[in-house]
Amino acid sequence: MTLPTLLRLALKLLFREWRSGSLTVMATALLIAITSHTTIGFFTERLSNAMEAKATHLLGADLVIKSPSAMDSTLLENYVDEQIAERANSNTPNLNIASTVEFTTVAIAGDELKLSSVKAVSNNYPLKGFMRTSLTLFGEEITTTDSPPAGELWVEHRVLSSLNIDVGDTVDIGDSSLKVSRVLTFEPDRSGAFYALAPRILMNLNDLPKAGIVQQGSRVDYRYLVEGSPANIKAYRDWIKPQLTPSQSVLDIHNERPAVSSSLVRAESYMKLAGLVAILLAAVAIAMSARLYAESHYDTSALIRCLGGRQNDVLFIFILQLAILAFFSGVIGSLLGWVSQSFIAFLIKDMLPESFPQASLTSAWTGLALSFIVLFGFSLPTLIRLRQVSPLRVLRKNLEPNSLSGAIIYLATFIFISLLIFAYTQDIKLTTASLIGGATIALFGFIIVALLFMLLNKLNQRFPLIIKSGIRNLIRRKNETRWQTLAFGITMMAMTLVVIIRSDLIDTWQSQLPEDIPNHFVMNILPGDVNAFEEFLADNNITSSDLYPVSRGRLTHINGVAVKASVTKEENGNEALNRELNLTEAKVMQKDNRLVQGEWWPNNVASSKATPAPTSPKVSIEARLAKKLNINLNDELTFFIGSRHLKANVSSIRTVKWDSFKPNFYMVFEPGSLNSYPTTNLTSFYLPEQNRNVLNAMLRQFPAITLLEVGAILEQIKSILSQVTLAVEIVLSFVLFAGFAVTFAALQSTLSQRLHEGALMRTLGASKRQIRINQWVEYAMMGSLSGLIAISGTEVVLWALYTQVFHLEFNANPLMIILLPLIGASVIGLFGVFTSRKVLNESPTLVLRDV
Amino acid sequence: MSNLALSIQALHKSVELNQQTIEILSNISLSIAEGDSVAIVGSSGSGKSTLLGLMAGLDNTTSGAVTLMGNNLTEMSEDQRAKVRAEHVGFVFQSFQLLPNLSAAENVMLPMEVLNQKNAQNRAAAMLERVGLSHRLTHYPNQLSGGEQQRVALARAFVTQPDILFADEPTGNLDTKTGNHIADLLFELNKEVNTTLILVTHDEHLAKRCQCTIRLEAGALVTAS
Repeated sequence: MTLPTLLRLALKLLFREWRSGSLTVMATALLIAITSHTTIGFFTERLSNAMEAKATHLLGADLVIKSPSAMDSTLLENYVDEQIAERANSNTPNLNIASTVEFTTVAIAGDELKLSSVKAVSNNYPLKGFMRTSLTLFGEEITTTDSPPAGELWVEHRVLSSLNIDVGDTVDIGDSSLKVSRVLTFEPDRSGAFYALAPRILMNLNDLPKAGIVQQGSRVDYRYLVEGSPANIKAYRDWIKPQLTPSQSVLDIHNERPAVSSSLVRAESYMKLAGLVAILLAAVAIAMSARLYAESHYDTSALIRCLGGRQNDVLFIFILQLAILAFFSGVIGSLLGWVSQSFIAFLIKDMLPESFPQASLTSAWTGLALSFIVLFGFSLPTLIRLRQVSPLRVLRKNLEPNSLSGAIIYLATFIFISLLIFAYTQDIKLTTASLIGGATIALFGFIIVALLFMLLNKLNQRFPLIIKSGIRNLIRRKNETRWQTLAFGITMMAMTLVVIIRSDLIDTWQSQLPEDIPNHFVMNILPGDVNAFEEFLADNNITSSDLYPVSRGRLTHINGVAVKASVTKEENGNEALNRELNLTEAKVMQKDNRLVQGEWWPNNVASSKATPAPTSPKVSIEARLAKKLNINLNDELTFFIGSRHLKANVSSIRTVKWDSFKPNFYMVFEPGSLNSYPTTNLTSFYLPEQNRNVLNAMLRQFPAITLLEVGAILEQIKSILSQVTLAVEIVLSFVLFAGFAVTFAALQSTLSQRLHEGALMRTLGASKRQIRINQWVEYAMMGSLSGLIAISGTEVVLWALYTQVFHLEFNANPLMIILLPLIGASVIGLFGVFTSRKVLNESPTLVLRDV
Repeated sequence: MSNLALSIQALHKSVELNQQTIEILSNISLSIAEGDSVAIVGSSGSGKSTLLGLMAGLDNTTSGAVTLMGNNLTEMSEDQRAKVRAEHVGFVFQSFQLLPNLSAAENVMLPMEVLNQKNAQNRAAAMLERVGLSHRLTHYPNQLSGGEQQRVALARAFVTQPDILFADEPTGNLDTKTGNHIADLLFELNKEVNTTLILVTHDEHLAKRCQCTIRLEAGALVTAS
């Protein structure tokens, strides 16, 4: 047969097939898979673009180069110039560069002095994001993207209170006098905010030479902020990175702001996991309905062969049909995916930034490819049997084609599943683990099903008469019903797991950001002010975290070797080495820290305030830093605090939750270690927005303190998490739909047999009521058995996850043990009776004649 | 003496069932000339349908040779036999065997499409008109009565003007009156197209309308008259 003929025939048959509804389950399952894939693809792409945009706002640019000295202009402007020259026809520069110079100096107003952190910025600062300023102290905040004009200063409120001046007064910075024109309340790129003790003064870069402060050898932090399209930024990063000296570094959003990115990464991997489950379930549904489809086309295949069609003609007709189905499902699924992600974006538009970038078409292409892969991968192994149908079947109806060896079908399916899991997780270990886990569950599931059926057979004598015959039906058909039960069970298990993991994930987020999470940090509380400060908090009904004594110090030696010499070159640029660290001491470890190695010092001196200084102090170090600097237990660390050295031995290594918004420390010393060193205190507290004027009083009473507001960042993170939660829930619904598709596909697989039996029963005089009761009993029993399978599988997987992966305590969930079999019984009962309604409605003569 | 449409030499067919060899057809030799009409009769289980399947090349012989329109089927592959069927053979079955997803006209077009013949649509319409179904072109099999379905099947069988037509109990699923109509139509068309007809039936009346009858009993040829 020629190609056009085959195509025409395939189309004709497909069209009728579609109208008769025999493709519905397969096409629906495929649509669910593709819609789920593309929704997740489109949405996560947009979300991560938007998140990156937001994060760049926090960074003030797409990319920042940090350098201790002014950088050669060839590394900056020249690159931009070259780019412009290369693209002579486009006269817009593709990279914008702003620069800032940061240093610490004394600001003077009259007789008052204040050590301040000055940042001189170019006119185009900030490139991304915005600042907030007010015209009076604690006045109304105005969002701005301007920067201070020449001759003016924008200062933090602490500068005003410490220098005892107001907006409009003049402050001397080095040799120049500049006018304070605004109060600075928020600047985008203040990433080291928690450690910046000196208050901020923002000035114009053009005023810097006049001030005459920055000279050769001054400790100055130069930052170059770069903005451009993602491709240009990437090109620039790749170009500049090899040219940087060890003391220069590139910052981008991936090494800043871990709190946002780790939550997003978790949400994204959850969505991908849920998406994978949806696709795998859909694939199972496709495989099941493909088998049914193949079986119902043995006659067609035999007849075409009988009329002289070749084996490959027959196969080709069905492959064409699959290809057409895959193409349309891929296109429609991608469209639905586009619509549903737009819908998600619409639902949560209040939480999204004003310009929520559109997604590229990448997900549509992968969706189309996935459509072909899933459909062919899971239906071809069974459809290939159509090629083997003997033409003799036209004369002898009972001739079944020689099955392709079962091993080959299972192997092919197994390979496709492995490839799918790998494509989604990009992780060989995870793929292997889930394959072995899945196979084990399937094997044990089958054994349990077999045992349950045996048990049911034994017990059936004791059941009441009315349900006996339904259960007998179930057992009599056990070759099919055992598989169905297992399929329902595993489907229910997958759905339950996805639901439980979702709840755990959202709980984690919510517990991470409770309503009263500290939104203010206070540092520099002088030891003499501690009691007064605590009283002030109590008077204003503010609950704070513990007060931590803090000394500022630098890590200088590891086991007597100078740090700079003992660490690798790359680590020479490590933040922890290049700046002073906040060193603290504590009796007990912070609750969310976790010991990795060593032991915490015994907490035997329960409440005595003054702990004597230990002769050989111990220190606990944060795990990531320890690994980077290659510090091990019992190493001797030397710190330089003020003008003196402190030696301490590493007694433990612990992990820290940096995203907890509580005070966190790299180094925690044994109590008493810092007794003879200058310390100030640090704490954090929650203050509702409407009580902000308390801060005014606080600053007046304790002018020395450093107050940091992190409410804006918190709000941002909260809004991100609620967006992500909603997205997660929508993805979850795909898993549920896919689960239903599997259920329908499985139920349909025995439908024709049931139709025939039902017709016979009715011919022999069974009432509709009797048949309906039998159906309910049979399906509900099958559903509750699969609920049992699901609950045992779920508990085993959760146990493994909690004890082996997360190292948490595992508690069995007794409610689910009752709930799942009940849900199984009602859902499978309902679906089963619904799909089998034809058994009751179709005329028996019609059914019997058909066979 | 006209050419042979079909010749069978020393044909054996046996199957393995529960490790026992069951002989279904043993040592059958016969030849049928072009244009002949032959009825194969016998009781249920005598091997009629098996013989038909072997003659049409739908199945493999255990031993012996089947030559159809000069093609030695026993030496051919499945796809080669399919080609012979497409070019020379038409079929009519007891259970009609129409594709439920194709309309009457499309069912009739099917064998022409297999042969890549032109004008399939018009010829199918003409053929359906010939069997009295011009008003049923776009109907699907489940919208047609049994007699109408068998008429579509006849149209499909004759539309390519096959050299040889195999009919397996063509009236078996029909009542006597309809069956007679179908039988009349079958023989009329056979005459018009001048096809060799091989008819399997246990209906003696139908068998008598053929030029000769072959009787099978327990897999062996009893008489050929």
